[in-house]
Amino acid sequence: MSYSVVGHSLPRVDAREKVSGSALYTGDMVLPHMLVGKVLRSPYAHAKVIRIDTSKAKQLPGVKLVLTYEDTPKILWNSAGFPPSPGAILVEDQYILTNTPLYVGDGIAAVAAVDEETATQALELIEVEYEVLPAVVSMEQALAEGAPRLHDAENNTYGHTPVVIGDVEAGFAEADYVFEDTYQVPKVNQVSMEPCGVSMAAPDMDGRVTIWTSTQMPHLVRRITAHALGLKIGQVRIIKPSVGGAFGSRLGVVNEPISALLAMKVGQPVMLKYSREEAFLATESRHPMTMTLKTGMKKDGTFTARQFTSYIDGGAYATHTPSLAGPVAGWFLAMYKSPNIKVDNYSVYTNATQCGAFRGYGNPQVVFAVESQMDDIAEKLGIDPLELRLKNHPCAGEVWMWSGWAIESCGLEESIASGAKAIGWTEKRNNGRISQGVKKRGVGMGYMMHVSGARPMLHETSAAIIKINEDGSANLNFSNSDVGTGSATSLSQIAAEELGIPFNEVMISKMSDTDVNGFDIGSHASRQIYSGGNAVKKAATMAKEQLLVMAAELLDIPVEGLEVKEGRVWARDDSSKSLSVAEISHAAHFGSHGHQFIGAVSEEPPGNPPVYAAQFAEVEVDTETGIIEVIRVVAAHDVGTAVNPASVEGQIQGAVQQGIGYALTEDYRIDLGTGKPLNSNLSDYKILTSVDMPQIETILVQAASETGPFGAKSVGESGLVATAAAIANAVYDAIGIRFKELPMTPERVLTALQNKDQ
Amino acid sequence: MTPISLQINGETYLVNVPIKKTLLDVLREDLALTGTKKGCDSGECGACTVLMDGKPVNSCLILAVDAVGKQISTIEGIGGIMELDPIQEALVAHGAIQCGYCTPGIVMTAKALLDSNPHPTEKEVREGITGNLCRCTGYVKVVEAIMDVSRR
Amino acid sequence: MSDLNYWEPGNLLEAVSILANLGDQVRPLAGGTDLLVKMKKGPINWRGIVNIKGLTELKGINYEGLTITIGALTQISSLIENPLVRIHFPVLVEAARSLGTPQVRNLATIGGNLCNASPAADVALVLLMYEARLLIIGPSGSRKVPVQEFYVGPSQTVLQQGELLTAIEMDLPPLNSKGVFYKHGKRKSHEIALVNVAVLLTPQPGTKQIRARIAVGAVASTPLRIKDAEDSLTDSLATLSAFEQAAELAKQAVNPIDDVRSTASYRKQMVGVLTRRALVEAWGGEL
Repeated sequence: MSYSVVGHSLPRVDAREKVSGSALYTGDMVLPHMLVGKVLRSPYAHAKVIRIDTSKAKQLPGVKLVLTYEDTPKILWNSAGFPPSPGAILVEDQYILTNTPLYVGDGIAAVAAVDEETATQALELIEVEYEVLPAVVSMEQALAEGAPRLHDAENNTYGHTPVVIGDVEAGFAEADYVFEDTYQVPKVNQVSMEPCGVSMAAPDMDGRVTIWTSTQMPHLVRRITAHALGLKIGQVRIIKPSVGGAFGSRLGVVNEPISALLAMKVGQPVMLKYSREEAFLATESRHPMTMTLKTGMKKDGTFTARQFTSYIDGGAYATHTPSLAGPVAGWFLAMYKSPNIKVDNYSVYTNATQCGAFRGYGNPQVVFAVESQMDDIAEKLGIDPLELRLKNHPCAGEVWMWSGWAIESCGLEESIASGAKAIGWTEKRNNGRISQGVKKRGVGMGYMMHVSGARPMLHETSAAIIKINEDGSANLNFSNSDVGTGSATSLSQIAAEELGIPFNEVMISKMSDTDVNGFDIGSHASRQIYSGGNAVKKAATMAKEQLLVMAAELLDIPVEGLEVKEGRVWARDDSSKSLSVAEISHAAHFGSHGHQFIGAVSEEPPGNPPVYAAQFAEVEVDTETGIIEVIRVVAAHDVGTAVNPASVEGQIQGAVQQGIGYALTEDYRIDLGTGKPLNSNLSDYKILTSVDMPQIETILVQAASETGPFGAKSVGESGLVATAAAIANAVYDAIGIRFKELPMTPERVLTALQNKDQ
Repeated sequence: MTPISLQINGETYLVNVPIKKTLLDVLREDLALTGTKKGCDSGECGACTVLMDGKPVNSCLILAVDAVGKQISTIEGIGGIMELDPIQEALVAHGAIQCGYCTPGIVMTAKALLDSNPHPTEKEVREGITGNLCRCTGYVKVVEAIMDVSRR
Repeated sequence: MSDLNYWEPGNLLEAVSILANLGDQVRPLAGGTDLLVKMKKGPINWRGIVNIKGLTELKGINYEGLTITIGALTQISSLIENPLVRIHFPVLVEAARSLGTPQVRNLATIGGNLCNASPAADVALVLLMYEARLLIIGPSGSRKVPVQEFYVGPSQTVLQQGELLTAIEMDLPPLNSKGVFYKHGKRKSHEIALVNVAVLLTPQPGTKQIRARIAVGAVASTPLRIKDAEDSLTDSLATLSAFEQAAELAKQAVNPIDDVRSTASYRKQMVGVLTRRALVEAWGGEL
């Protein structure tokens, strides 16, 4: 299908303001009498505040307010940006400030002062006496016998999500081969270029507070912030301006309750901007996990049983962790067909920074494990690894176990075929181990499936209001949560396509504003196009219907005989009969009726059509230094209809950078004794630079969905889900060593190579 | 507080600054030139890149008092409301801008790069922008856009 | 909150005078790429900054006879672009190009980088290989210190209160010498070396024998010349086994540490691997 607006790589609607430096991000904003906020953080991983004396800080000239735990509402909340939903398990265990810090960085006090320097000095003047308590900063420590209990959780474990299908023991008994492997993945940080944690709160005279914040979830942040402050939801207004990337780090409350509390108490606007170090230390990263996979296979390459047991390190507070366990189970069990499946996911508290959402939401962890084991299985069974995936993945028409619904479309066959061809699979596979040189090359692949929105686990409400102006242009009122993803542009394309007007005649609300925009869940679960687009398209249809009714009246032709194209309404059978949308709209506004065409929709989309991808990597391993270099990545993605192909490619390319980092260089570490961060900076926490990137080829397979707007599905998270597995499998192809722990650092690789030789 | 005169985008600005205040903070706070971004405040991300006498530098590592007598160019001085600079146009056209936070820094670096080396190889472009971290694009379309401008 | 004091001395005498009188209460400011990071990280116990960028005595790259003199205020990027340096000290260019990022290189000065005294410093390592001499001026006059003696420990040099590094002096390496520099890291830029190696191989005229200088960094409290490894190659023939032996001696001679960037064991092994590779590459011919 080809469309006039959808499917074209149109320039993003916010590109010009961003490239000129005029786009406003939260931290660029200033209000009169604005104060600067800062947070005092616990230097201990586990402690009790015995005494806290803020008097000297309060006396410092320029300090307007100092708050401690005593001053905060005694209301527990959970930061995760989820609506009440079957899949949202929101354990409320956080206060705005604490007097029993549970990680190095936990907020003890907050100040508002006239400038940053004064605020910093004020923190230094707050006297705190701590009783230091024994801490468990890693999962290993937390799960050890006799470990101190956090949140009174037995064994520091909570949120067990069991899934049982059939009988895995019986399945293992009838298997020809049983594989059992344990995989470990680290904590990694989103490292959005705008450091996570920036909000500016301003109180008004009517008991309301407006918070400009870099967020993915305006309406949900409104809920949680209001709850945390003991306010009615309507007393809080969230405005989201331009955001400098998120990748899940802003999937819920970050620091809005603190800035709002400071602002409301001091009666002036307060800007609370976290430093890069604080973004590492005090915002939510990806969950480290330990995963054990036990798999029963028949020699023909089919599964008899699949078992997954994982421990999820959620850090000091529950936040997303118990809710994540559900999708983790879903990612695992939905990947391959098996009559017997058992899943047990355990959430674990540790005295470390709490973990939250990072692109993929458990899928990168799961797919690393599953797809690594699949290659081992393929080798043992003597089956081609591509064949093994093709044989066992769920197909179009079959039930997708993540959602319980039928799969609408599947482009995996084409992805695997085109990806394999592009990387040179047949020519290059199996050559590494037999080559003579010090540097060995290999190719590997991984496959993945992901969601388009989170139904039915979570509500997927979106709202769109389209009004057609008297000049024929249209305003699209939508809670725009574009944090760099390009959704604002793609949604505008959907609106323009459906309305039949030119793309540049559609103007989407650039800032999201909870006072003005209908309730939208926000930007997560790769939902903006499928869910948001569904609402936008329907709102456009509604507005268009009103337009056509008026046009019918003016042209004296029944509605069925009319169509809208390129900003004009045409009589299908007589091209001489047409009026511009502007003429019709003008007549509607100022003619006998006096009304505007407005389409308003608030609903959930009908389903959740999964996306597929096959990623291939070619690596070169230097067997003397252990350095793995990624030479090429081929990312073949079924995204459904690509509403804006350049945007889709860009999303995949950026995600691959994160996926390679996950595989090779990124690891957020803390001291296992004190819990203090070891690399909370961009020198020692290593994201790939422009010279570190391999050649990336993106292949878009557009297996259109039935229910998505113009057949669209999703792409937001998919790009990094299978990357680490593809690289690990390529490394195995190159040097015959299986790495079950990420990152695959040169130290680990060299040690493994030396152990292999012995 | 020290009164200083700064030359920015061809204009003279008079400001009173503490010695320890960086050029980045003076640009953003005293002069409301917020196009230059703070991504790390320690010279590691390049979001604060400005040109000083034509060379890309981290404005977070320069004291404002130390920038006196230099020609400073910021993103606000590139292109204009009626027309964008070719580098900016190329970044827009190639879809090389996602969240946009690294973008002003990249524009400044690319501008200096192409001014001194109008026809770089892809390797030279990648080496030229390696001080500008990006987390959204994987640098792919950024490099394509700069190469596109260089071919004209 | 009190601000910092600030001086912009117009000449070397003035600068030395301020530094001598105020000592530890002030810090000299050159490129600022290390000083400002430290200032922001805090806490700082010094109260003033002496901006030495106005000192013309510390600028310029000149040569006389077979000796080049590089002013301490030369920016790393200017060092890279200087034709004399590119032609006669190409390994220094390579080390300079590996430092930080392009933006940092436009600010950082060679003098500032040397005085920052990181054990992993790339430029210092290559200066060790080129046997540079550092020109220092202070209240008691001027002195020349071979770079080998300049470093005392991590962030520690022999500079006394009031002294300033003014220039770096290097003699052209012996005829037909070939140098190689490797910086080993997990990324290709933005890195502080896990291990760095600089090797200079000089064929002895009229013979097939060689001499070598082997410098290794990030594996001790200062960059090091490995005498045992160098001696093993003095007047020996260039063979793979001679290079392997020298590399093994280099590896044995170092005692690196575990830190957030890498492990002692890995670093030690890399000294062996990279020294051998550097020697082979420097030789260039058949072995």
